[in-house]
Amino acid sequence: MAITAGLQVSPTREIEGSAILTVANLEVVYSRVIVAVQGVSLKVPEHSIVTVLGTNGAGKSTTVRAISGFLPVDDAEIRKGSIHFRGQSIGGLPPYQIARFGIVLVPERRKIFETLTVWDNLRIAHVRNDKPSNWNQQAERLFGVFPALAARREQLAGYLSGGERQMLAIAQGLLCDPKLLIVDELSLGLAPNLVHDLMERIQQLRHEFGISILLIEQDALSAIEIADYGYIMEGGRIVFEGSPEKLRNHKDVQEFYLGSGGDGRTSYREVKQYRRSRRWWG
Amino acid sequence: MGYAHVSLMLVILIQASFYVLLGMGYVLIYRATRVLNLAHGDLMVFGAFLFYQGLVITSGSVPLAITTGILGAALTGAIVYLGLMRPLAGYPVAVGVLATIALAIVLRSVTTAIWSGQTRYPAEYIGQLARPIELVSGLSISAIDAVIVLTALICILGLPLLLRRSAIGVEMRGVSENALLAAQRGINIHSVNALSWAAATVMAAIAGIFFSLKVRLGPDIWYVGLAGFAPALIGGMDSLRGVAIGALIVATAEVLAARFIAPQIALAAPFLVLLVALWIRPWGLFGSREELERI
Ligand SMILES: Nc1ncnc2c1ncn2[C@@H]1O[C@H](COP(=O)(O)OP(=O)(O)O)[C@@H](O)[C@H]1O
Ligand SMILES: [Mg+2]
Repeated sequence: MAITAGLQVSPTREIEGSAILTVANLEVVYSRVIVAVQGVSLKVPEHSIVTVLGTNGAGKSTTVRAISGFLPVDDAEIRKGSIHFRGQSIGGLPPYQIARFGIVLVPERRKIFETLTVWDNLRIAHVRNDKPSNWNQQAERLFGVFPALAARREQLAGYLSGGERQMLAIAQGLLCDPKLLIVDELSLGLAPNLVHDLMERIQQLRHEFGISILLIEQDALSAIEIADYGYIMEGGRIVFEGSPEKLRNHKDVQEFYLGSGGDGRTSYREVKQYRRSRRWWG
Repeated sequence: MGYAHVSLMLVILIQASFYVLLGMGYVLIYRATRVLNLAHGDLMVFGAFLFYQGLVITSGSVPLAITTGILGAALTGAIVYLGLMRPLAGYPVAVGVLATIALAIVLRSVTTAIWSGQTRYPAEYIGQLARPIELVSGLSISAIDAVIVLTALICILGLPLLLRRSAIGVEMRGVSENALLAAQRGINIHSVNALSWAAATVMAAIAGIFFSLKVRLGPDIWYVGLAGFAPALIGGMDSLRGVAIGALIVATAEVLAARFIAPQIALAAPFLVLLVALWIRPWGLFGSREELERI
């Protein structure tokens, strides 16, 4: 009886294969009072791309900061819940230890060293005890995926375009030899066709480097295209989750996140109405 | 242009070289910890006393004494960072600056307790270094002055190159710009910063050794090291290149003031120049505007 009930808890949360990252009931507070993330649970299966979607202030960045161990910097802490990497608890560990597990975060802002050249931005990223030959090989492979970077090797990173900055940030992260790459807002401030192109390369990188990817996005359309699974976050909670098809077909998701309900882009007034009528799924 | 002018320029050059050594120390520390290190003068004195102690123990072996001074200073710098500045990371910058003032006072009393307030003349141990070298007929420079100018020249050319090209230099620049990202990319930011502090303290010690050989040594010469923040600030605080220019400006003002106005003015000259420079261009000659708020 109890076993059956347990199995039935949430069939939508069943994902095939073993998980590289499991977050369960995570609660994060800033300055001991502001609750930014409330009971968030999510899973990233091995070799998959999982996306977390949501509007500004939903708590996406806070969640990934908790995963990568950078909460204390902002005077935040994990109050409840757990974070496991391949079965090992990593919640609350210092960032450098989490990085050694192979979790690499490409942050939302300040993601490259603007005063260094493109090449120096890459060679600054390294793995403890890694062989130099290994590193060079990886760097060459990355130049293959991002030829624009190869052409700008000696240029100061501060002068790169938005798209090139993202490429550099991702390349830099990959040189730390991640098992799980977390990218916070890949699409921020980029033209749609550029975002589409970058997403395709993310997919290519997953296969070439054999990594798992957690993609944090506001631009749901492009993220859903390459993701294997998606979560939608609102006010610090996961309010909806499912396969890309399921996300794409859900009426409210279409209206609000894909901006394709009715006559195209959602206006602010419509968003407010949506907020009022929205029910909690989580 | 007569010999008088040339020799005056030589005096300025020597003084500027001294300021280069001091100023670069301020810049290295500022880049690492975003703190104006007001203990730099006392670290300079401490390093010079370690050198003096080396001379006394080895009864006059200059290489051993210099090694003592440099290693001791490096260790001191690293300890100051790891023990004092690192725990203060995250607090407002003013807290860090206040901590360096406290450190300065503690260092001064420790130095006085160990070596007493008595003035020493380490040059006694190395008589031949004071011998003048004739550059052209009638114009000569003492060996110690030549060494000062050469050392400064090596630093002006070498340090920026080291920072630009070497792996550790790139790490230092990366940590300086964005410590959080550097940590995320696998760099041990605390060992990098400790190294910056060690290097800066070694440069202060070298300046202190030069001053003690040229003039005198005592716990009271800390103000000489403090004056080094004038060229650093004029140069923009985060620019090694700027220090060289700042040092030339400060040295020129100081030497000219001493020669043509009154010797007593020389002491205040670096700070007068600094005030004027701050008034004209608050963010320094080579610094960026954003740096201003972080001092
Ligand atoms: N450093 C901080 N201090 C206090 N509150 C914060 C801080 N960073 C974010 N928050 C709050 O946490 C909530 C979630 O923010 P965030 O995780 O950045 O959302 P998202 O990345 O989804 O836009 C917001 O309400 C925001 O105001
Ligand atoms: Mg965010």
